[in-house]
Amino acid sequence: MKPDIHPDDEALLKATRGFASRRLDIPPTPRDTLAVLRQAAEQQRAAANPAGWTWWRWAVAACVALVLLVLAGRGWMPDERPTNNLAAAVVDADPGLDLADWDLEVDALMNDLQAHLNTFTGADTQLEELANALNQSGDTTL
Amino acid sequence: MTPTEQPEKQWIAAYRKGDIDALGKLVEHFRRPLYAFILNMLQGRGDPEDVFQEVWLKAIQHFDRYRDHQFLSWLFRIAHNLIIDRFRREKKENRAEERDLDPAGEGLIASLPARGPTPDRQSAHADLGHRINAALAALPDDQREVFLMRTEGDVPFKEIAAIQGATLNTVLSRMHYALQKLRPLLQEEYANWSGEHRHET
Repeated sequence: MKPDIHPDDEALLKATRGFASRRLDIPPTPRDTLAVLRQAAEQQRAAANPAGWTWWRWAVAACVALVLLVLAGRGWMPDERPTNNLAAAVVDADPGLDLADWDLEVDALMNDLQAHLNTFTGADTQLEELANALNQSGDTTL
Repeated sequence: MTPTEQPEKQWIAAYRKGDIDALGKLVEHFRRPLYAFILNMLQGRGDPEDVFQEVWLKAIQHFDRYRDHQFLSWLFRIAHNLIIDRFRREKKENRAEERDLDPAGEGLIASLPARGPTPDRQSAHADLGHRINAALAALPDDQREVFLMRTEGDVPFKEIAAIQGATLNTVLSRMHYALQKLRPLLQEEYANWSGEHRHET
């Protein structure tokens, strides 16, 4: 059998809407039921919206940021860039020693070092001559 | 469009925005169809006021899950689930009691309240209203539920099928059988109703 609702049935149902409840003596919602539901709704709202404080914090933070921005725009905030006097002072700073004098002293030291090295070269030559002389004399005691 | 659609949407929107008073208006607005549904589904197997309150508590708890379909059918869905849970619990408890107290089970089953009206009440209820209640009580639960959802809440058959976890054809069959049994009473009701309206106009 094809389950179907006849159009007449639909019309009958529409005409008799509330068929079961129409003749029932339904009391109004008791006050304590309404109070319980109201309390539950308030609790649910509080539980579902714990971010309420965060929202206020964000609002306060945004206000503070805005005030600081306005103050900075008006030049009331301290400027952290160096002043012109300070920049000039940095350029003209005296290190406290004469680098030209230092250069001269280093040159003198290098000259002394070279003279000593030349002395050692001369000593080498003398030793070689002495060794040759001994070889020629045939003295093997050395 | 049902006549209940317009104010319900405003109150739902107001409640969502934090107006707790709108909840009271919703409760009152849907009181009659929801209470009638619960009363007829329980058939004396529990206090309808308790279930009514429980339905609304669940609705408040899960209000964010409600989407923009018919609000009353959502309430019916919650009531359907609560009543089924109650019946299951009751059945389990009865079974345990039967095992503990009366191994044969006959005494206790006989002492349980009858689902329909008692013979005494049936004889006393001669008027149409009581005959309607008796006829509704005599319907199987699933047929009565389809009939009530359709006539009290104008819930679409497709949605009733989703609530009952049945196919659309099954739901239509249930409605068909319910109508077969109620047709004489419905026609009488319809005649009275149309007579009253003719009289008014």
